[in-house]
Amino acid sequence: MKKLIFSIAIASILLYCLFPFFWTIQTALKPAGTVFRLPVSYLPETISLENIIDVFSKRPFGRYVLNSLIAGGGATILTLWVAAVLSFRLRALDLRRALRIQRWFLVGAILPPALLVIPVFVVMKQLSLVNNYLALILAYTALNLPFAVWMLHAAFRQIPKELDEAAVMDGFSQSAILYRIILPLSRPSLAVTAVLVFIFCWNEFILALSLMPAQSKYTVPVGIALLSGASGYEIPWGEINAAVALTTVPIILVIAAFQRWIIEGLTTGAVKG
Amino acid sequence: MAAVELRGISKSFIEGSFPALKDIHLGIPDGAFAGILGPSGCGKTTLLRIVAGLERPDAGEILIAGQVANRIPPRERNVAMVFQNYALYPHKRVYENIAIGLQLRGVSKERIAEKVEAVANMLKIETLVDRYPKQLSGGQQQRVALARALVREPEVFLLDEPLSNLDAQVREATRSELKKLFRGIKATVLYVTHDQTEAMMMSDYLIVMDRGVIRQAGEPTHIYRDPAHRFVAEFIGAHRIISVPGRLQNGRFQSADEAFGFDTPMRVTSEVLMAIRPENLIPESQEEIGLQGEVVLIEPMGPTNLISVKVGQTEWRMCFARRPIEGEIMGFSFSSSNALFFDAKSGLRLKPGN
Ligand SMILES: Nc1ncnc2c1ncn2[C@@H]1O[C@H](COP(=O)(O)OP(=O)(O)OP(=O)(O)O)[C@@H](O)[C@H]1O
Ligand SMILES: [Mg+2]
Repeated sequence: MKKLIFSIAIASILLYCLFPFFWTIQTALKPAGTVFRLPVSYLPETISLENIIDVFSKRPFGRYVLNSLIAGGGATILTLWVAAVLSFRLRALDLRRALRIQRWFLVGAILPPALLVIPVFVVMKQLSLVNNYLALILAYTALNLPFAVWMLHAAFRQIPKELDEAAVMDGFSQSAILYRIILPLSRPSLAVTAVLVFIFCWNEFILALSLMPAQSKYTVPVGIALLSGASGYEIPWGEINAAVALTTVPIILVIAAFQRWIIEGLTTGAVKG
Repeated sequence: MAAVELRGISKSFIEGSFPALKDIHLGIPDGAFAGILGPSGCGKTTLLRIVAGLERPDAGEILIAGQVANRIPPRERNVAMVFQNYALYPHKRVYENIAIGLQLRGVSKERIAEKVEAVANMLKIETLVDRYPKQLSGGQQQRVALARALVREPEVFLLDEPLSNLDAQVREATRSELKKLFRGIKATVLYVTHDQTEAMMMSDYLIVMDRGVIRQAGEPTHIYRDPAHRFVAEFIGAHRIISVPGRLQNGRFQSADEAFGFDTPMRVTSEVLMAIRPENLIPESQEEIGLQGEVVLIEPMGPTNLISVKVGQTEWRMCFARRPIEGEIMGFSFSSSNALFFDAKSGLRLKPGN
């Protein structure tokens, strides 16, 4: 009985979470003319790839995806690298001092990105980085660094100091200790951090809109928001939904690729290895 | 091979607090197996780490093979350390764990393979080289940690309680093996332990530490027979030494509880602690100094029994093959030449000469 209630509860939560996603996909797969037809049909009678083909052929959607991958991927790699180096330094300090320093990073994390748009834009303009991938990569890295340091510092602290000391005696340099011992041992946390940072970058809108105003530099969320019909009065719902559905694909792929490590990451600390 | 010498080494971790090491002077002869013995927290690990170069002393000099090593970084000291918790690299196979030190020193692949194989054979872990540390038992991990140190052929080995995680049987077997092994390679070894049996059995040279100072250093049997400090007398020995507070005056010891007294060659006048080892008490005999008391506790130990006999305020422990009954009145005796005297305040040994 308890089990049944539990199952129903899980099922309703899943339904609640996934219904908008389902709706997006089924709208994306409807033929263009039928999106607004009443009565509402929950399953498309005919599956049509028209919308999906259209976003790629009529619009530079492929370009948007590429832009997002460059900005998001670049920012993820840079964030992880900087966070790893910082966390490694923090780990060398005693815990109380390290946490005091880390708190200052968190002040940065409290600010919502929207507040930062104008100052960041001014700075990037001065550096003539507007419409340059580097602008987004740097901005995203700065925004995600507090979180990434938080994650990696916690992970690095789990690794006993004796391991570094054994490595020092074996002849490792400090950077070799980071790259060849600490990082491989922190793989699960690196994976979780990478996925979450990448998702943030992939979904981020306001900075992408202001730092990359040229249409050829739109990222996916900007591109979707600015998808317009033939006239200002026509909103191409079918194409928008196709684009949104496609947008989730890379995230799903990333999570699938890292799934084993992510689950490892969520459960480490529970049992001592 | 290299002698290790410490001159006036001091170290405190927190300024103003009790120092972990206080003005340590120590000379370990080339090729000696030196046991460092002391209770938890007395600074044994800190001492090893200073020799390894993992910790900087606040003052003093470290000499390895006659050379001041203070400024030499750990990797160049030609010293290998086996950590208390082994510190194997969990993401590397046993082979790599052993080989990596040589790899980083640019030794050729073939040469590494040869050396790792030789060490693995010596430690009987040749069948385990493809495993990860997680897939090994504690004893096997300990061997891998040893192999990692041995393969580099350092001049000095630092071993931090390498047997403490093993169960009693494996421990005893490994103890003998280790001693043979290090005798074979003739290296200088600093071996930390807080097990006095282990220290007595394994060491050529024994260092007894207490709260950051060296209480005594020398040959183990000498330290056993002739302890320089009350702490050493109490810490070393198969059975806890018996100590009786009292007073020395006019060449006579009188126990504080007035239970007994005897003449000694001691000339000092002082509050003292008279100590005697249980193995120097002779049950059911009346020799030089004879005492009598009630049997209060019997602890069977297989071939013999450890008997506690209460005389005055003191419980005297002794080994006895016969098993008396509790409450029985029993006599025993000892020779005054076996009695050791320590100053009640400083704990220092008092000898007839002074
Ligand atoms: N990193 C450190 N920071 C502060 N105090 C320390 C540190 N390392 C050791 N100490 C202190 O120094 C003293 C000596 O420690 P050490 O680890 O050398 O003891 P030990 O003899 O090895 O003990 P055990 O047998 O328990 O391993 C202890 O009082 C300990 O609390
Ligand atoms: Mg220790």
